[in-house]
This record gives sequence, structure tokens and C-alpha cells, in this order.
Amino acid sequence: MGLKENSITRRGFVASAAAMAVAAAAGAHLGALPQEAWCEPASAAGKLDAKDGEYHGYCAMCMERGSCGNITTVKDGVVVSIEGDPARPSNKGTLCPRGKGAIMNMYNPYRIKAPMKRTNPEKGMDVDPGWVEITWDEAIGIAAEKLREVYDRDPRELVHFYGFSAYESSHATFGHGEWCLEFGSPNESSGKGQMCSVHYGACYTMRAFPTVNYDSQYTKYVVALGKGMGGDLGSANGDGRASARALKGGMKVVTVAPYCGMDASAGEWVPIIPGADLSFIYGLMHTMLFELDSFDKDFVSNRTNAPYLIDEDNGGDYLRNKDGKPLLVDADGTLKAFDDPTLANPQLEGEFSYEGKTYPTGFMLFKDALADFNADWASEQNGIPAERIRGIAQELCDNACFGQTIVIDGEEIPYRPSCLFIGRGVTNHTDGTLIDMNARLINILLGNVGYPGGVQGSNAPTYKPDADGVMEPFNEAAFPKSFSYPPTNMELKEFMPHRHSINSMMMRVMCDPEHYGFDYKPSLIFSSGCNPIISNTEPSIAIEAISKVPYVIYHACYHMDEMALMSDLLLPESAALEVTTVYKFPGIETSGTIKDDKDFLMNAPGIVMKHGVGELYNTREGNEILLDIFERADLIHVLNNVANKGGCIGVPKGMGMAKTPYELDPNTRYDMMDMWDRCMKAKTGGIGLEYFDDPSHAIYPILPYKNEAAYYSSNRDKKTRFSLYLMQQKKVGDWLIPKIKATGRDPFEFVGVDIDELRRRYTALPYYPSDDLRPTFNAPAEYDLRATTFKKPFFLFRMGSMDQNPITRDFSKKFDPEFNAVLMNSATARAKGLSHGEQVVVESQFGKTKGVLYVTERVEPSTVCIGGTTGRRSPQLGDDLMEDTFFNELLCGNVGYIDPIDGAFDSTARVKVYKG
Amino acid sequence: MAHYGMLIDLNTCVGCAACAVACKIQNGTPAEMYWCKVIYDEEGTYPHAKKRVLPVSCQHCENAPCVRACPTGASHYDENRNVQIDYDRCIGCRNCMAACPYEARSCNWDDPATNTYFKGFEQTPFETAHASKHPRGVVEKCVLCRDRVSEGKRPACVQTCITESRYFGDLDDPDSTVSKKIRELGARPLLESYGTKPALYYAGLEE
Repeated sequence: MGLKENSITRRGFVASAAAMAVAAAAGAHLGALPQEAWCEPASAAGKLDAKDGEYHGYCAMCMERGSCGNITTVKDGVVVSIEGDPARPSNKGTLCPRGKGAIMNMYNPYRIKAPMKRTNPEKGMDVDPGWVEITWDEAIGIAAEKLREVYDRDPRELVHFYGFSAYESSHATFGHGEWCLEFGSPNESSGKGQMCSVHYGACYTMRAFPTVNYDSQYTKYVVALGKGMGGDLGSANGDGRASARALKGGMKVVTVAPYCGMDASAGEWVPIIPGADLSFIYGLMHTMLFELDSFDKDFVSNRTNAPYLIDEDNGGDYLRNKDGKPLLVDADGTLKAFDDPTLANPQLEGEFSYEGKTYPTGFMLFKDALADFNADWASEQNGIPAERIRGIAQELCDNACFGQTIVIDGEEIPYRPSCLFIGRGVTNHTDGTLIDMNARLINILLGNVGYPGGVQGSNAPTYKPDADGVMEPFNEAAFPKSFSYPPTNMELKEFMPHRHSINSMMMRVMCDPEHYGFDYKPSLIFSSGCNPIISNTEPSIAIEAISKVPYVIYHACYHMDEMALMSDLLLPESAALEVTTVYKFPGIETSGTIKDDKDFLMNAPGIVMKHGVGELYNTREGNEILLDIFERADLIHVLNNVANKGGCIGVPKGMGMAKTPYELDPNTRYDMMDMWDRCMKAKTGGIGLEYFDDPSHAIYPILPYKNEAAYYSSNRDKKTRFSLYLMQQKKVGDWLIPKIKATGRDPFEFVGVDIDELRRRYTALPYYPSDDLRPTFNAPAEYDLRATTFKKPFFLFRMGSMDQNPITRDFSKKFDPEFNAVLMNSATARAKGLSHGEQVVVESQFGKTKGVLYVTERVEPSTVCIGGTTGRRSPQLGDDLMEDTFFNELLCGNVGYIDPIDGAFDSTARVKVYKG
Repeated sequence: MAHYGMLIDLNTCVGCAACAVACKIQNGTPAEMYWCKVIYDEEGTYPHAKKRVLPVSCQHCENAPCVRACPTGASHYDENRNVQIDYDRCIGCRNCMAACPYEARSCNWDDPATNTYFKGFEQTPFETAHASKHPRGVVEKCVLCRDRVSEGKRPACVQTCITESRYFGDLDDPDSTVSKKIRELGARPLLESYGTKPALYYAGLEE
């Protein structure tokens, strides 16, 4: 491999850099509003009142908050450098470009530097809000009064958004909507979550949250589907190191995707039509079962519910004995209960009778459901040559080492170094839950789940069997508890109980609550660091929804973004480098292990502390703002109850202080540091924040396992069976669908499909929806292309005012041809008469954006790609941000464009592209 | 004295440009100036195409065209045979920039009062704190983090690399990690045929 040397010749380099610079400057935009009122040079704030020296902390510049330790250096009152902390096992002294950007985030002149209130009641992106700076005392008083008012009248009228922007108070500590629920309002919504519906399948199959990882230490062959291996993400937290080490060690990566980035380039790239992923998965499984007859038969027999007999006349429930226990047929032909201690090796296929009647196994039904989906059929759907689909199936099986074991820490463990690895790129489709679940079934067929070389749940989850001995889904995949109509929650969670976030539907409900059955309207929005206007689909609908709510508090705001322009009260949070905070880092997203790095395996997740350098401006730490507001509103018990139940370090779950010596008195106002200290002591049995006084203590590890052998969940729990026959998914449908019918409402308005289709979606078995139900394959002919997106290391998650960072913006303009570009295959560009470097418009049925055409060989021909989370509606963030490509403008989050089970909107849009 | 050099393994480099940003933060270079950059490219035709990246900075040549082109001796070899610029002797003639085949040098030409990081705003305190290291009117480039190295640290780009694709050390020591890796990976310099004898090596340059 390698670059040709002439690619860096003087002429070639200068020409390309100049072309990009000219293109970027051509559309410079100046904001319409006077920025002087709130926007002043950072230097005017003077210097920090901080001692010279190094401040140890953790990085807060991406979603993987806390994953990297950092050291900030202050000299003469100025932050002069930031580096990775070598003492942190995850990043080991490295730091990514986003993390290095924390200094620019802090000195960002566009920051909101003091609390402010609006004086002009008219709202809009081009309306001057008439901001007036106020004291914190006044600001807290207004917020407290508004909260108390709604609490006394009807707490449900509160809508609470939480997001990434100011993570500590919005996504951690009291975040994830927990305080809103405790307050008495069901209307909490993750404003950034709908783009990332990746949790259902992981929660279902492995009780893993947030996701499932590959195993850098042992995996030899990976098929990456809608997921990067770490390279394209560009994180220092271990993902990049893990994939680099695994590749050096010989791991082969097959990336199946419409775009070829760095991860795909590190192995084999297999282009696929975006949105056609389910056919690829079915084609693989069909090949394995019908053509190769190759899968881990021992695992499927003994570690899954596939051999359970199914009573189709009883709605597809397990055939049960008189004690209600599922029955299986053992190798010797005898019927046994699933927990019979003499059970040896249950059969998967055959003719099985019980009391004179024949029953199939779950496996037989599963296989039958896949009978029509061979590789030739799949190829017609997704554009991958059938021969290659068959080849990948063969390679998955060949590399799975069926029957082999490996000795780790003296224990002999099944060794399955081959897996399929999925992510947001394939789960965010209208058939996303089918993709999500069935992709995981490939790993079950490979017998790799929770074993060395296979897929691992985040943080090596602890399994829990249900009464039938099968993994009980949890968290977002848990069996729903209740249904009511009118709905209680404006995300319509009753209709989609497995949602991650359906913020796009919530916006629609907020526009017209009565239509959806609500007998009240929201009267107060309390957004904590969340800007749903640009983080989801259809900014215009979000703007309309927010404008209908009488009062909007933007807590933990940071700069004059779209949400700020729609708010009445701004309560600005300090920069991450400025404030001292505590967090629980739950582990990284992509790799569960790093090859030859036991320190990472044992010490990556845990409690971390960030020592701030102090505030530049009249801003505050977000949690302290919350505590003040709730204290003033005489509602402090709300936050204390959240902390007692779930803790206040990191996501408020699993760290509760209740019934420990550190339990909070509900009605006492504690300082945040005191609360973090108590929470840590409750978890550690007495070790508090003083632990971090020693700079070498970069993390307090919290692990469910004691050595490498125990890291592998299926080795820790050798009994719980995985679901190949998706019984609970079917049963949720059995439970939910009659309730939806009974509402008398048209189900399409709530879930986007009719009742019959909803029945088909809540299935125990593979099912392929008609193209009519998938807008990617069912759009007016003029929208002849599909637009999709990919990650860019400089522009992720809309955190840390990344798109304002002058270093990475300028670098991108000069050197990165994919920045603000529309990537199109060269053959497609030729056919359309479009040329490299010209301005083009990408238009869907729902919106449009523009960019510089980048003609490339690295995009599937029916696809155009726009990278990174950029694009703005607010003109108050810098001259050129409004000219950035804005992929989300192309998407739709309405029913029909979202998955009917988890509410994910389709991240692929049908578009047309023309000169503009 | 040690002859410091570097290896960049393109087999695992992901082009995240953490190196380029680390260089900016370490050195506080003026706006729009990059001592370290990454060039993005692709090769092959659909569907066998690949994205390719190439981080480039001063190659610290032993036979440096820039040193030969410098009329004042400002560009010179330091005790580690790395190329440095004495700003007091640099007259900003930019002959060295024309001579460098790696486009590794930049002239600090702009007025720091207007050429700020955030356009339309004053310098940030960060820029001001680093400003004295960047006198106007001279040519600048990678200094191989001289100050860091003298403190026993690795250059900022090496330390920050998220995929462990950069190695730094003494090229004269056959047992140094960088020397061993260069041999192991068959690494070679960029534009080797030019005879510049760089101290930067690349693995994965060719098939």
C-alpha cells in the first residue's frame, strides 16, 4: 500500500489547497444581528485567577466523555497547552484533535458570558431577541419561579430536553431525563438521541448498554456494517489504538458501506446501497444455513433457545410441559424441560411429537423464514455481487474456528475469532430494528457472543435469564410496563416502548398536542445543553414546536446557537476546562479490548475527576445552577431523590446513595462537590474524592470482572441461553397491538405502519418488509440518488462548539477535500454532467443543502455522501458556519420515515443533486 | 549526539490530524500556519478504491536544500543534525521555502493583530501567550519539539498519535525503537530520489 510520492508534489498540493480555500470563501455569510451585545473578545475577560501548573482532568469534547484523561497547563493566567494524561489506561497520553480543541472552546469569543433574558417576545433565527444581561440571582429566581409555577399547576406541562453540549448537567449527574421524571413530567427527551438508535439489539441479546464491541485482542475477521472500527472516529480513547494493533496483528476487516473511509481502506471495502442492509444480513444467514450448512451447532443447541419446541397453534409460544416449562428434544429423542439436568445436546431439527401432535423447533422456523432470502435475491436488493455475499458468509464461518478453544488465565474457553459488527449506519433505518436484531443473530449462529474473538457487551455485562432460561432483555429492550391512551409522553413512548429517543415526533406533538390525544399543552421548556433544532431532522418543525411554548429556559447553554435564539432565559455553563467535575466513564464504544494491553482491559472504565482552572466569565458549572434553581423553588428533594436512587456521578443509574451512610437528606441543599464525594464513597465503601489528590490516580476503576477470563461474559455465565427465536419481541407485540387497536386511532399516525404491518414487525422470526414501506426505496423518481453521512473526526456530535474551532475549520478548508463537500461517484457525476469542485445543491423532499462536489471513486454510485455534523440556522456563530453542509436538513422524522419499534429516523434520504 | 528522527506508519495512520492540531497547540503557531499537515488523497477505481493520507512536516534532511538555499545561515543543522531556523538571522527572503520539496515551511507574513484564530476578533490569550515565539517576517517550520525533547518528552505529534503510528528516537542507535521499526517495516523517506536524506521515514508508502 502507499501514497504515490507525486501526490505531495508542490504543484499538486498548492493547487488543491487553493481550490478549497477559494470555494470556502465564496459563500461567506455575515450575521444579521449585532454581536457586540453579547459577544466580546476573549482577551477582554482578562486572565485566569489560577496558579501556574498542571491541572489533571478528563476530556469532555465528545460523546465518549471522560474516556480520555488530560493535563491542562496554565502559565501566567493563560491555558497554554493540553495533552493526554499518560496515567489513564484508555488514552495513555494521547489526545485526539477534538480533545486538543478544548482550549479553543474555552477561549471561543462567541460564548454566552453571563445570564441573560429576552426582551423581544418575537422569536426566530433572524430576530433580535433584545438580550439583557442579568445577575445570577435574578436568573435563578426567574427559573425557579417558572419551574415552581408549572410544578404547582401541572408538572406534565414541563418539557425537558437534554443533550450533549454541556454534558455534565445534561447527560450526566442529573441527566438522561431523570430529574424531569422525578419532577412529575413524563416529557423528557434526548434531543440528540434519535440519530443514534443503536441500543435495542444490544440490550435484547446481551443485556449490554450502550452497545456491543468487537474483541481487538482475539478477533481475526470482522465484517463491519454501518460501523467504523475506530479510525474514522479518530478517538484517542483506545478505539484507534485497538484497531491499529489488531490490524498489525493480522485482523481482516470487511467494511460493508456506501462510503469508503479510513476504516474501509484498512481492509476490504464492499459497497452497498444504503438502506439495503437487511437483505445482506439475510443473504449471509441463508448462505450459512442452506448452502454451507456451517454454523456453531453446539452453541446454537446448548446456548440458545433455538431447540425449544414452538407451539404455533398457541400464538408461537414455547411448547410447555405441565409445569409450564419449555420443552426440548434431547439427542436421544426424549423430551425434556429446558432445565433438566440430564439434558445433553438438544436437537435443532427433526420431527418431534408431543401428546400426538408434531411441533417444530424455533430453529426450524427460523431457518424456514430465511428460505427465500438467498444471496442472489439479496444481491438484487443491495447491489453486492451474490458471489461476494456467499464469500463473506464462507469467510465468517471459516474464521470462526468452530469447536476450538483457547486457554486464558488457566481456563479453557470457546474461541470464535470472527464476527459481524454493526452500528448506527444500519440501525437508523425504517427497518432498523429488524437489521439490529438479525445482525446479532449472525453472531449467535457463529457462536461468538461473549467469547474470545467474538462480540462483547460494553463493560462485559452480567447476564440474567428469564423464567424460561433465556436472556431477559433489559433497559431499552425491557418488556414495557404500562400503556395508556391518551398517551402520557409526548415522544409517544407508549406506542414505541423500545424507543431511544423520538424527538422528531415529540416536536410534532408539541405543535398540536390535542391531535395526538393530549388534554394539556406544554407551558415550559427546560433545555439542558440540548439543541434539538439542528441535532435531529427538520429544523423548521422544531422551531415551530418550540415557538408554541410560552417560556423557554436554556440551561447550560454555551453559545448563541439555534436553541438560544428561541429561548427566553439563558443560563450559561462554564467551559469544561474551567470547572471541577466528577464523572463515571462507562467504557468505550468500539473495542472491548486492546491487543496486548491488560492495563486497558482491567482499568479503562471507572470514576474520574476533572480539576478546573476557574472561570473566565460570569458563567457557572451546570449542576450548581440546577441545584440553586431547585433550592429556590423549594424543590431540592427532586434532585436529591434522583441522586439517592441512581447516584450523581455519571449517568444517574447504578450508583445510588440510598440506604448507605452517605444517603442525602431529601430537603437539604448540598454542594455538588459534596454530593459527588458522597456518591463515590457510597460506591467505594468510603473512598472519596481525596483519592484524586494524587495525580497518578487518573481513574478509580469499577469493573464487574477480575481477570481476562472473567471479562468474557459467556465464560462467566455458562448457562443463560441467547434468543435466536425472538420470543420477547413477539410477546411485546402480543401485548401492545391490542392496546393500540383499542385506542380507535389510526396506528399509522403513531407508529407509521398499519396494524398488520406492526404485527409483522414484532416478530420472533426474520421478516423482510416491502419496499413500499421503506422510503429509501419508495420515493418520487426525480429523487434518483440516496444521501447518507459519515463521521469526520473534527466534527462529531455537535459538542464543544467543534464547528467553531478556528484551527480545525481552517485546517479542513485547506487540506480536507471532504469538508463541506458532497461526495459523488465519478460515473454518476459524468452521467449528470457534474464536475469536481463545482457548487451543487442536494435536495430531498424535506429540505436541501449545498456543498462542493467531490468526485470520487469511494462512494457507491447511487449514493451521495456528506460527512460530519455541520450546518447551522443561527447566524450568530460565525461568518461562515451558515455555509456549511447540513445533512440533517435532508431528513424526515415523521411517521413513515421512522422505525415503528424504536423510533429511529432513517438516516438515508432520497435526493436529487444539481448545480447551484 | 543523537540524530533524532521519526517514523510514520501509514499502514495504521487514520488521518485524524491529531498530530497537526497537537502541533498547533504545542507551538501556538500563527493562524493558518501548519508546521504539520495531512494530505488527503485516494487511489484505485471503484469499487477497489482506498482513501490515503500522508502527514507531512519538515523532514529534517541531512542534505537539506533549505539550508543550502539560506543566504544568511539562519537555516542550519543543530547538534542533533536536525534542521532549525535562527529567527534572529532570518531575513524572510523565503529562498528556503522555494527550495523545500516537501512544502514544509511557512512565512510568518501576516500582521498578528488581524490574522487571529477567530476572524474578526482579537487574539485569544492562548495566541498572545505563544506570540513571542513567532516573530513577524521570518520563516517557520517544525522544530521537532526541541524543548520537549530536551525535557525527555516525545514531540507533541508523536505523543498524541491515537493509533501509535509515529515513532521518535535516535536514528544513530540501531537498537532504538525507531531504528528497529524502520528496519522491521521497510520504511523509507519521502522523495528519496531527491537525495535530501530526510530524518523522517514512512512505512507503507508503496505496495
